[in-house]
Amino acid sequence: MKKWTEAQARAANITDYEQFNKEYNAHKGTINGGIDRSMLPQDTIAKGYVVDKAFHKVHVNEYNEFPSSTSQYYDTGSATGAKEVRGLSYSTYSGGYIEILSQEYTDLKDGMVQIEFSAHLKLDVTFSVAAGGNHNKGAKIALEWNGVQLLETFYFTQPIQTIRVTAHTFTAGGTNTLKVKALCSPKGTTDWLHKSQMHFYNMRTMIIGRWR
Amino acid sequence: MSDIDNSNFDRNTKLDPATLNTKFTDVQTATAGALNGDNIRNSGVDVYNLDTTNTDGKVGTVLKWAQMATIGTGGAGLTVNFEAGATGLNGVSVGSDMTVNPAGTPAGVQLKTGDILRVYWTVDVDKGWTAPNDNVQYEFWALWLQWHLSSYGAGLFLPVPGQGDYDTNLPFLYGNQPEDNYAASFIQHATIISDSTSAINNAPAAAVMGATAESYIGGDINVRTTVSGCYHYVVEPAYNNLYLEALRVVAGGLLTTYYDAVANKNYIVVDHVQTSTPLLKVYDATISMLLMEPD
Repeated sequence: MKKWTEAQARAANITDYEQFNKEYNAHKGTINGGIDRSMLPQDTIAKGYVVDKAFHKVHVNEYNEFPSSTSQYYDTGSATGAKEVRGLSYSTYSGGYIEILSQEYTDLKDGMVQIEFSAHLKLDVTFSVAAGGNHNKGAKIALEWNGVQLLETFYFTQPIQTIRVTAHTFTAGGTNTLKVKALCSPKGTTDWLHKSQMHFYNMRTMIIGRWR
Repeated sequence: MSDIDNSNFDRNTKLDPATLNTKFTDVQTATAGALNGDNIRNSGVDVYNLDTTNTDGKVGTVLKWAQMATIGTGGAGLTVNFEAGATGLNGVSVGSDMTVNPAGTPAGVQLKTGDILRVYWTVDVDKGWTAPNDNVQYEFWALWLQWHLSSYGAGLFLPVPGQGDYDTNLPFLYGNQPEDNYAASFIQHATIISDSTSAINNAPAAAVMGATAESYIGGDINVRTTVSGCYHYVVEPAYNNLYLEALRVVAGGLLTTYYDAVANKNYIVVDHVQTSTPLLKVYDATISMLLMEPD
């Protein structure tokens, strides 16, 4: 492994600056444009040696609730007070995956990206999907990176739970988009029309882009 | 890409060993603060070149600190009782605190504005009560994260930014603002389901279920389960240069949701009226933290 050492120039070896510059520039030309691992000493590079985003970039974003009061899925007709949540109900949601957040990143480079999504998920599982004995209600989460689905969870079925889903994928440089989607069981015969069915509190995403 | 310059050596430069030796610091000059993604990625600067004299990777290039600890209550576990107080939760630590970098000088790890703090915890719990009761239909426990900073008095822990202690005096009950639950894990006490075969119910009011039409999921009571949580935080200027000295997880309950039409907000509030003496038991718990450079 090559190592940089300090040259101990001796007066007898130096004839003039032109000779020195000629030699030096030739030597420099082998380095410039390619300061690589073999040009740099061992155990030297700390954070102060590198410009920002040379190795990685972390983004943390918070979104609070889904649905927000301006969402098309927000039901303004649900009850108020203790034990209640105002949000998505079967009067605003009929089933299938819906987008609960979208985040664009513009400063990533090609490499790998680690994605984490966390939230508190509140579900109304009290009433059955179908009258009589069938009580399997729940919600699923899906992560998409640039429109490509990375994962789909199993059904979350507790009335409230804290969830975290994590994925890794390769990514291109430039603009990239993360979307989180969710699915809730469709309305059964005994479900309430105006009761919040699927509500996300304190949604947060963290991504770590790594290109080395 | 950082380049080596040669403009500082010309006809008037005296050629002697000292000058020449200074000249050979050009590489150092070119690399200090100037290595960018092209050098790192395309030219393969890697672990060999990093300042890894600690041999553990916690050198500040990407990772500044990482630590894991067991903080739970083994054996019979710790009983967290339902809090009947009308002024919010007090909460109890699930076991011990995680002391961060106690051998440091000074102890702890220094926070810098923009740093990324990541904390993950896993706690074994089970739940109990004296008798089944549908009061817990929408009720849950919380585990939440607190930290001790160098600016705090001895033994003082406060909730991390973005998290409250469920003791804020709201206009109707005590609890947290909706945006103050970013470092919590919620645990449903028991799932209440309806066995009803009644017709479609379109009413917007809360359900009043007949006693013969409801059940709770047996596996929710006296069955141990594992709960996890996480916290991601970009250090704000208010905490710049302070030392993070300890972390702990606190448990308390019961909580429920609350929609307030005046503020048009969905709150998390303390439900201090229960008749079935619900309790939470916590057992083994682990916590891990990472402090990272943001870029």
